[in-house]
Amino acid sequence: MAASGGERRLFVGGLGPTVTQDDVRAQLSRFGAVSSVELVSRVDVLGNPEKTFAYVNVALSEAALQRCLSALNKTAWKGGTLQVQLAKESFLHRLAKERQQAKAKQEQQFSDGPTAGSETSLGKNGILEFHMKAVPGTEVPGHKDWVVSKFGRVLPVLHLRSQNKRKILKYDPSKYCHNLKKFEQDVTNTVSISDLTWKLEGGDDTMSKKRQGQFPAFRNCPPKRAKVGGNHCSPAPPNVAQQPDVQKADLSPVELPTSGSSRHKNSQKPETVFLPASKSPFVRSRNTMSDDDIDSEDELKAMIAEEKKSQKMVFETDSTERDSFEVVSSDFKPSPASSGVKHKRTQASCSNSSHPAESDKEYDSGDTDEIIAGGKNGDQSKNKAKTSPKRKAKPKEKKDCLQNRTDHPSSGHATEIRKGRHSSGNEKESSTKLATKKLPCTPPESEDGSEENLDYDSMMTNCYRLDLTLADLEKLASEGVQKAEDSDDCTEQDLPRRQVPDFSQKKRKASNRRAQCINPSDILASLLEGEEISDRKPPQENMWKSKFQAFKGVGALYEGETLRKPFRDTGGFAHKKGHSWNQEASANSVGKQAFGSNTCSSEEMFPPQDGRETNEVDGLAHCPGKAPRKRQASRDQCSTGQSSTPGSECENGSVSSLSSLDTKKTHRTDLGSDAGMRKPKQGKSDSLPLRPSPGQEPKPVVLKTHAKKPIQVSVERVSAFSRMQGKAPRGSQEETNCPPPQIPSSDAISPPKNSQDNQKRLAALEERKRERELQKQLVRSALSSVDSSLASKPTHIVFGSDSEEETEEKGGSEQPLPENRVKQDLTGKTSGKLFESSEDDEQESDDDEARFQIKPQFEGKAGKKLMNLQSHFGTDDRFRMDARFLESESEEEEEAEEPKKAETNEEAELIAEKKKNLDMIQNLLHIGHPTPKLSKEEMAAKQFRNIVRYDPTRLDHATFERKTDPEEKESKARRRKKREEAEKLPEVSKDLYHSIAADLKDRFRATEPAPGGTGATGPWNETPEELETTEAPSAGLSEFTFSFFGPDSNGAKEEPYKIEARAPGRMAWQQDPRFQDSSSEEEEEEEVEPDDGSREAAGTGEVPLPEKPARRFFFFSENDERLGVGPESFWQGSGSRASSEDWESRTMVLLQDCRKKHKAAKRKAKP
Amino acid sequence: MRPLTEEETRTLFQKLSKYIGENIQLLVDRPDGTYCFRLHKDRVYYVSEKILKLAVNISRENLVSLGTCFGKFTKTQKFRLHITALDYLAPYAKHKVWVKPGAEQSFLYGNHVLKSGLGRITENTNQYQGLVVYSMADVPLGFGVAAKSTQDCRKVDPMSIVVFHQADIGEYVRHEDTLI
Repeated sequence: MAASGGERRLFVGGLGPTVTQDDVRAQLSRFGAVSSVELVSRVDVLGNPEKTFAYVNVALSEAALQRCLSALNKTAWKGGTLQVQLAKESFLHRLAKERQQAKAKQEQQFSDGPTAGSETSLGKNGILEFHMKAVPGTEVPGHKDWVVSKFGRVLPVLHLRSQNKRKILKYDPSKYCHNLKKFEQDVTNTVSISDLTWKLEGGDDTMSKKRQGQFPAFRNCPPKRAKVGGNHCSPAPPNVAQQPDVQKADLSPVELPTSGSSRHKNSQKPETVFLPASKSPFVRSRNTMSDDDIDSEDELKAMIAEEKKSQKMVFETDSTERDSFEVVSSDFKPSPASSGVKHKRTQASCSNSSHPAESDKEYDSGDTDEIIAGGKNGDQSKNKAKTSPKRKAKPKEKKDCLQNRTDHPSSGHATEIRKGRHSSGNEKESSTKLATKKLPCTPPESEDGSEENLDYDSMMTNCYRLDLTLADLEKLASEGVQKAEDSDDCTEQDLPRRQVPDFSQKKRKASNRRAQCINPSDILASLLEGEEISDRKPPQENMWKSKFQAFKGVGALYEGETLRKPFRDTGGFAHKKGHSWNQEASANSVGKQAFGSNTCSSEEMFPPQDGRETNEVDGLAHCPGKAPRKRQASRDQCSTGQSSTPGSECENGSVSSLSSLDTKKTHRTDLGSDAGMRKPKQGKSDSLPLRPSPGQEPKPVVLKTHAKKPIQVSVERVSAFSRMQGKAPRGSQEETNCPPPQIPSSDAISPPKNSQDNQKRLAALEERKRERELQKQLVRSALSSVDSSLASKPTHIVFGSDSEEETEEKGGSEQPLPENRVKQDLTGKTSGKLFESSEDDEQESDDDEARFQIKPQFEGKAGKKLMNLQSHFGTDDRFRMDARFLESESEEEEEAEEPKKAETNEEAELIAEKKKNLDMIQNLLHIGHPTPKLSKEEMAAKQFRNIVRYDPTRLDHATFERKTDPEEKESKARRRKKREEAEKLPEVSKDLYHSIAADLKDRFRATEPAPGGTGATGPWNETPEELETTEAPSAGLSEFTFSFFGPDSNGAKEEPYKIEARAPGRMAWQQDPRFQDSSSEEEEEEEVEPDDGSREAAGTGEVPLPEKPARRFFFFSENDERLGVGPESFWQGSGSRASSEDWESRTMVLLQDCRKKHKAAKRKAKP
Repeated sequence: MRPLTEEETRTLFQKLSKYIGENIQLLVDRPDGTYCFRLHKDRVYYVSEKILKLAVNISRENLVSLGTCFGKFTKTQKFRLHITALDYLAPYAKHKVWVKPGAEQSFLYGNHVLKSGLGRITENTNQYQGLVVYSMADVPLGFGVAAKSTQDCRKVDPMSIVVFHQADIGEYVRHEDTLI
């Protein structure tokens, strides 16, 4: 960038290492004025010049440049081939230029104005025509999908494909980014805080309550709990199926609590408002509670422990990481029972919070089953409507089945009823439908009934349970009164639609009746009635059994009411149409007679009629309390038809129930009387219109036929009739209800057949009864014999559990001899010992009795051996041979005997093999001998032997002393030695010093003539330290002592001391002590002597005092008082003290110095 | 059919001890009768004395199996346990693994047990320790070898193998012909 004629920068390369700037300058100056030469030489690592080049600024014209280049390029010069080029601009130049430019621009911008500047800058960056004030959302011109957002930021528009759809969403960030709007505070419309909270309006249902913040009592959620119980494998409900042990009863509540129960209830009793929604949970609560009762605290504790454990586990795992698996201890054993228990617990936890605790096991189980059944029935009932009425009862799970079936009708009917309602238009069709549909439901019940007979006793208990549940019922009823009324209203509303006005009244009455029924007493009465009927009927027909389970009482009550309505409806239809159906009715009657005659085919023959019949019968039995029962009765009738073949069984059941029935009847008759009274009234009102249809009667007829007879005629079936007596009054009531003319019509056909059948049946029954009793007697006799034997046995037992064995052993008269022997041995021995040892005497007198008992371990052969073994030892506990020894012995014995037993070679081989295998296993597993006990004992014995009480006083026990002591001593000795050595060192030095001192003495002595001089001079030259040390002993020995003890000491005597004391005079000229030391003493002396030549004369004299003071005038004035005082003056004077202090301080300083130096030296030496 | 040699017995017991430890003693020394191991066509059978006596009467070629087959000796004289031994391993197993219901099938098809399928494991299980695999309902499904110790199992990722598959009851179907 240089000017054409101006300075150019040239690169001159390939210079020799020796070229200098001046050389280059000179070379180039031929072409133009060289302004500057910049010589650069590159040197490699070793310092050898690699290459040298130069940048030269030369003022060159173009022509000159060319000339220069052509002339110099590639010419050898001074050891190098030149290479001349135009060089690049120096960076410094460039920098300067740029800066200048920038400055210029800035100035320019300022002149133009700031906005223009920014725009230009933007323009430079490629954003042209850009407006800062663009409204957010405007597209950037020229750039698709770029949008200006707030603050002038440019953001991309995104096209997003939505996940599922193919639609592509356009996301414009300007609409979402930086799009906050500032809300201005509106002060005018202030709302008080109280207004900000509002109440949610809603009903009483749980959801609305929750919305209002009223949460129900906390319940532990079952799945969690189950999860927590780590022990059992399938905590969650879905896994329940895996637990084979869990009963259905347990299963059902898990499924049911939420949807299941409600659904079933709905399906079963769509019209019952009366039925409290809480029924199922209520029932469940009992169920669970009862289960828990059984489970007891122990199990609960165990479970809690398990839970804790598992939780612990969880914690452990949590600490590290959440683990999906659990780690169990090696002794882990899965327990299905516990899991089951847990299950129950969870249920309990569910239900406990809401419901009071009650316990009625069967009841509960029944209910749960019922619920299950309901679930099943919900499906089945629909099927049944289409399927054939035949349904085979499953013989297993009697109860379940029973409840299933008892529910069946209810659910089935419910569905039917619904249909019936919906199809209010064509009543006829609906009624027929009902009839047909009902059929399928009934047969199963009949089968149940037959089965139920077998379990009649259990049923009896159930009946009692009914009373228990009534307490609950009362509660329920009191609550339900209102509901019932509601339901009544509903029914009233519903009924008029479908029914002829005539019936509306009836309904009303019925509803009233229902309302009455709600009173607990009434309920009881009605229930009991129901039972009565149910109980009575079986005997009458010899097949029919009440299948009223205790729980059923509740259900039946409600069901009854629910069912009553439909039946009333249907009944109503039946009656309405009754006349038109006369022919059918007659057919029905025939069918019924067939029933009465217990033909199995009756049911199959006339399914439709049956259904109608039942309907009609129900219709007939409008007296509300009875309606359901009658319906069931009718069902049961059907059942009799079905179960006639297995009738024998039923009869059995009935027989068994005979006795209990009578007692019950009395109760029921009493209780039911009021209800019964009511019934007839209503019954009359109801039944009168119904009568016209003759087909309705068949069942009542049958009843009556029997009922009447017992009262009026006493036939040979007394037992049966006695049963029926309770029923008889009722039957009569019914009779009263029913106009006589009709009865005969039906009676006329049925009695003969019925009576014959009944006779037969009764006869069979009686036979059975007899057989039963016989059997019972047999069993009883057998049991009694067993009992007696059992009873007799304990009388012999006199002693404790030990003696039991004894007696048994005695009884097994195989080993009487050895035992006796043992006994004898024992007694003999003990007695002997008694006299032998006086110590044992007292003890043994105490437990003589125990002694004479044969101990269990002494029984048998092995026992004998043990005895022998024991006889060798005293009675000392330590030597008592326990069963442990016996074991080992017996093992040996066995081992010895086994080969004997193994007579055949094969067996021997096998056993040998076995032994070999075992040995090998032991080798492999490094297991000790299979009888570790023995080995342990041995070990213990050995140990015991080895253990000796150490008596330090005994000499021979010295061997037990540890040998470590001498070592320690040795070490101590070493230490001591070391210490001594350490201590000795200074001593040694002293000794040496002494010897030196001795030498000095000698010398002093040798130079005795002038001791004072030497004494004075020596110290003077010497270091103060040495002076002291040397002087002290020498002076002490020779002169110093004198000076001390002589109160008026000579000056000469004092001299050395004085000199000594003053010697520390720290003269500047004082020499380094070491130097002094190194110098030989002889030299010293030699030196000294000439120095003190004059002194020596005085010193040798020693006596002449005046000389000395003259000499010492430096310190002492003439006639110094101190001299008079003698050494005391300075011995304890402050001056000496000061000097000593000074000395001490000095020594300290010196010591520190020395140490410092020492340390420093050490430090230096170390690295 | 012959009794095992010393060497064979050792290898057999070594193998068994991996699964049931000292409980082998219970197999050898049974209170309900004498039981022994017999080798027949390279297979080891655990036979009661009674059956053994009966089996003696059958010629070697005609004897297919007797008692319970525990496994077979390979050509290299190593012992390989068969699934048929599970009946005796399961009750005495020292270390167990429970497999989640979802992983059961996978295991029964001959796959290893992954950590994701691991429901429960006995503590203190060492690596390469013999394990008996159970379903969560405590049905023994087979056996295998621990690929990871219990402690390691906690750390590894869910798809890593925890138990190496050795035998499973699915083999009754899959290896019907070779099991015998």
